[in-house]
Amino acid sequence: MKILVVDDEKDVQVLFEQRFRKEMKNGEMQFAFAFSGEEALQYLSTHEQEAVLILSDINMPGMSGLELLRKIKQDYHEPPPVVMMITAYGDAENYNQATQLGADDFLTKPVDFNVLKEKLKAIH
Amino acid sequence: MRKRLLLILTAFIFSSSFLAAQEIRDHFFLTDSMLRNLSWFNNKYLEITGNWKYHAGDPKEALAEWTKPGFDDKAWETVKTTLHVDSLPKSGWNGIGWFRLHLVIDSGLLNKPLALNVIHSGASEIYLDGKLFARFGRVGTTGSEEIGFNATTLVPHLVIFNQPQHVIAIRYSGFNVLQNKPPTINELGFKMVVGDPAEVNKSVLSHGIFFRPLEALAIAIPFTFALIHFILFLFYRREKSNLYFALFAFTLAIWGILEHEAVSNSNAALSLQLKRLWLPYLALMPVMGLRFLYSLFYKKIPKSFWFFLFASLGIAVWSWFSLTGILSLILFILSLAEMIRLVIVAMRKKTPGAWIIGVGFAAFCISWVLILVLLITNNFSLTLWYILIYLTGILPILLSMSVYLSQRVAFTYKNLESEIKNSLELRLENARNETELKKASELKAAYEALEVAHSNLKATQSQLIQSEKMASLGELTAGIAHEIQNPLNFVNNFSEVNTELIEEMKEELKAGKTADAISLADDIKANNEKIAFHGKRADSIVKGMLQHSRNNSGQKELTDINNLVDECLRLSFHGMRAKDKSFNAKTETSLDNSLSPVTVVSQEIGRVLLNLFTNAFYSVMQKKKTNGENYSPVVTASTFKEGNTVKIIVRDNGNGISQKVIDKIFQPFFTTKPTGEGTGLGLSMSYDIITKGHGGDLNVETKEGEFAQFTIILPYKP
Repeated sequence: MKILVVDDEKDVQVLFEQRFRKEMKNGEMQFAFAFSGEEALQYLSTHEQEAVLILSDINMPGMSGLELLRKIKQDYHEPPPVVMMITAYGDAENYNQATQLGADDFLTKPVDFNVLKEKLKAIH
Repeated sequence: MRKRLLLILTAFIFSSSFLAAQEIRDHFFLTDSMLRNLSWFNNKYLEITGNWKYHAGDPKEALAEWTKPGFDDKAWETVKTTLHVDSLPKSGWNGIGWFRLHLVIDSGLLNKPLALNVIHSGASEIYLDGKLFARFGRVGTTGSEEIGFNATTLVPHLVIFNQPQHVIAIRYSGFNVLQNKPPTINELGFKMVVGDPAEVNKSVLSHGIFFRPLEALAIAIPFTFALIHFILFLFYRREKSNLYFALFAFTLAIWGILEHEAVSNSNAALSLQLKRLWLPYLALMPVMGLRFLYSLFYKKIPKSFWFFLFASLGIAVWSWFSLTGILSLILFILSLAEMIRLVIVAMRKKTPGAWIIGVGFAAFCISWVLILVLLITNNFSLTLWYILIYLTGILPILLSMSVYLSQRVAFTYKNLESEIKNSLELRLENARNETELKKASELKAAYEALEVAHSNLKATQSQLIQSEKMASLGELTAGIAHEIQNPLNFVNNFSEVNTELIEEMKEELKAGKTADAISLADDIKANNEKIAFHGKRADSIVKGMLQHSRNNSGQKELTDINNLVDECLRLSFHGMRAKDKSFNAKTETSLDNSLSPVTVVSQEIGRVLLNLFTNAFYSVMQKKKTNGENYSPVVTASTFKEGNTVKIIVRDNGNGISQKVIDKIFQPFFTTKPTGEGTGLGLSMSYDIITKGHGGDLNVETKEGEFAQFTIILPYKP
């Protein structure tokens, strides 16, 4: 399973690599990282069929996670990638908006990686 | 008659010029020529006073015997009938006596009418050739029996001599004259006068025409002046000059009456008493003039006045009793001189109007000079005398004084007028001043109110500054929370990961896989570094927040500008996000890594930066709302060195600032945000912090609808 992680915090990459060390080692999961919405779109345009799951932060400078979500849901239909939104602000508005835009799941920071792992495995 | 007055006044000049020794004869020869060229002095009468035979007393046989032409009077003493006090008859004078004259008429005067008269203050009976010719008063043998007759106004008796030889016998009594010691008359007897009736009539007529009206004027004019000025005084008593002038004029009027009555009153006794008053009066009269002039020209009466006053009083009393006129005359002249001196001094001092009185006195002096000239040249007449003394002498003085007083009144009026004008102006000015004062006090009150308001405002301002800080803090709280949340997440996650890794490492070590264990240890170490890094990051955010909310301005310290800019950019971004979930903007940084730390008060610069970033985000957010999809908001922060300054540029591609408000953006309380959203203090505070606090500058460049760019310029000393 190929997962694209979009977050403006660069340390997120290190964290994910550590957290999913085992999954990556046994080839269960593959991770790609983008540090802004724009970068994520760029990645998707070149690796269209690869990403199955997109984990996106909502709060990002430039293109926000919600905007990215909207674009992905607009532009990528076959197969539609699973998009999970992560936000520091676990408020109803963000949640509703994300849901409206077609987010497949909604996580709030701090992310419980065990829960995330479960969810990822369930999708898989 | 009037000559007596003149005699007094001119006595010291003409003391004895008219006393000519006369030849003693047994008869008096009267010729035609003697009656011509008679001086004014005798009213065209010839005085026949010398070569009279005299017998004292009035025996019973006298009336029968001594009136007879044939009576032999050769044994009688030859005397002058005037009976001068210095040369009384040797046979004595006790008040009554007989006088006989042998008159020889020149042929030229025979059968012609002659005017015959006597002048005396006593009483007389005149017998011509044994017959009673005329009677004047009642001759008495005692003072009480006698009725004196003042014969000055007497109509002359006419007599026609038809033969040359005549005897005139006169029974004369002068008890009253003798007893009353008339001060101005030093003659106790009488004068028999003879004249051409036509000439005498002419003289009398001329008196009637000129003399009487003049006499009346001499009384009326001073009296009128006195009355007018007395009334003036009554109406305004503080002007004492009017009173003194009235008194002076009154004394002159009284003098006129006194003189008139003394000379003309047929009651010889009264006439004598009045004549006696002349000398005291002469001494006292000018003092009134002096008093007046002193009151005009001196505020305080000088001592010299008292000298004149007491001298005049003393001399008046003395002359009354002594019957001597010389001191009165001297005092009169001295007083006159003093008056003239006063006027001259006043004129020299340029006392306004003094010249008017000067003119009056000049006329007076000229009149006197004329009188003297006329006297000397023997061209004088009583009419002239009156004209010169009163019309051109005393009247000008009175008139000039009155004019002077009137002028002074006029001056006073003018002064008053200007004073009134001044006071009106003053009142206006006062009113103006009052309103100004009122205004001033209003202004003062307003100023004080303003001061209070100002101090209130200051307090409010500091509160506002604080609340502005807190407001921006509040805005940023969410952002800060987010900012703290992120590093904390990392800290938590990495520490969790490390726990896992350490477990794994233990297993590897147990399994003896040293190389794997070392690899894991490296990862742990790297994670640990991440933990430390994010811990510090959270720490610095919290510190920054604390500093930001701290009220007092912090110390200047070396600060990494790039870090500060980055931090503030993030803070404000997240702050905006926290407020508006739909908000998003691209942030770009172009930070000069070669910048050395700069000495600034970091929380203050931070505040400025937060403010500028927040504004930038606000601006792009507003533009995004209207422009929608086609617009991608970008906020850029850049730092770089330029000369010995460091510049921090905060640029956004938002709505920019309109030219209308660009001049106002640094003013306190100016805001374009809707009410309640902005305090309007952000930029003004920022401006103060940069310029006053750090000696730098804060500039703005903008194009409306396209961009706004704020440049912080700080002094840079690496």
